[in-house]
Amino acid sequence: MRSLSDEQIDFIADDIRIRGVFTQSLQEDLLDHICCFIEEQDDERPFEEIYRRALDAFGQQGLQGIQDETLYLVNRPYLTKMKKIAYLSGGLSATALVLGALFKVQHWPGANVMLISGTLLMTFFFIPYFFYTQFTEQTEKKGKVISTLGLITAVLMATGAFFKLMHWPGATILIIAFTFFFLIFLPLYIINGARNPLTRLSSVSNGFLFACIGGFMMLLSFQQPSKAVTDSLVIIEQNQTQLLAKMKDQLANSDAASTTKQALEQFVASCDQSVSTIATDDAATIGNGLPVSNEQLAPFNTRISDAVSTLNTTMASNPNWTPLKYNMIERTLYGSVKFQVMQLETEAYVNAMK
Amino acid sequence: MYSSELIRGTLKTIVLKLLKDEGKMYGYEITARVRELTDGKIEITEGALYPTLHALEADGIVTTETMHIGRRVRKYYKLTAEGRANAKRKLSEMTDFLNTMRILFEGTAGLKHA
Repeated sequence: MRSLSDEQIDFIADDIRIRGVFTQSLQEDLLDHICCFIEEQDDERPFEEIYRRALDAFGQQGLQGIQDETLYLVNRPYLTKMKKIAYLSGGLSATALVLGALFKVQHWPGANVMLISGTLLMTFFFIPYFFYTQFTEQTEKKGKVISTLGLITAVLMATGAFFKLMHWPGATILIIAFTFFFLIFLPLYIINGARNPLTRLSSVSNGFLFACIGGFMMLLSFQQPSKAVTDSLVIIEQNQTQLLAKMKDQLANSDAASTTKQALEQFVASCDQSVSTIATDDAATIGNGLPVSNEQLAPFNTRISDAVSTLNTTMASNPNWTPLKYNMIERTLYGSVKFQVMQLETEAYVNAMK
Repeated sequence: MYSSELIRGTLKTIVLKLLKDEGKMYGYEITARVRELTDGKIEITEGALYPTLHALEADGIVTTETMHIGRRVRKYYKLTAEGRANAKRKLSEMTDFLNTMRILFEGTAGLKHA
């Protein structure tokens, strides 16, 4: 029976910490255990040699292995719970997203509610829980790096999609960042998994799934307004430009002091201003200068229809004048697809177009 | 020495049995007692014992009592009320299991005698 000096006990305590045991209760257990072991040795061997033998008894994984095992056993019930949350929220959000997309394509009501709740579920439950449980199951450093990369990619994807849905600024940057991370993550994930025969099948099939989701995301994100929409916009613009040009022309040829000239001048100025307002007010628009909502369109509509009615009233006495007609421009309930073509036309103009 | 596979499955039960009999024990004492009781045939490794003790503590089956011995702390593990009920269940399960194993492995021998 030998006894340990205070210095020796401190040395062991420090060494346990240096060897990577950071849990205090485990530090205490191991210190007492090693001390007991050393005190039981009766021979005259030096302290260092006996201490080494005591460490050998802890096996190949060493002290840190004990800690890993302890943390795993203690946290296992929580991990199982987290996995359940991950799978449940994953299933729910996937269902909501698929149904939401279907409703959106069919222009049925409720699409946005489903898409938003699906994205929120995915962002705040599925992705963090799934990648956290994946992360804790990785024993190698490489696996941890790859699952961290996956977490970043997934968060970028979900937030990018959500920003895009809400028409918030910054969606494009998030999606470009997502594409960048995705192109690094996917090959690493598949190659790393395929090396291990145990995970080969699952990593290749997961990789295929990720590729489908990522590709679908990119398609959705970089989509442009449909051809019908852009065509109708071009027609609106041509209508307006031609009409304005025609009016400016008439203006130049008319009597300088006449009421016609004043009325037309006022109208042209008003229309010019409205058109430039709608095209440059970036925060309120998406894509090709289209306002996001009917609320944002309202001032534009009011300005032009006021200008049209003022012009019609002033010109009523002119026998050559046919009243102008203005159809409100409006967006439909479902968002970005349908527009009523704005018409700003005189009978003569319509005839000329024919 | 038995294979670690056999010991791994029974470690929790062994710990519960000892704590039930002895009241409170510290880690090193458990390894030493098992070695002594089994003539060294069962050697509980530290690598398996402490994770098990901490998991039992997290589950509320055992609780700890600390005692200062010079510059170090000794932690005694003992069963909680819930732990005692749990230990009883586990031990009767183990007894039943041992009987079943006996039937399984001595069954043919028994028939020969009959």
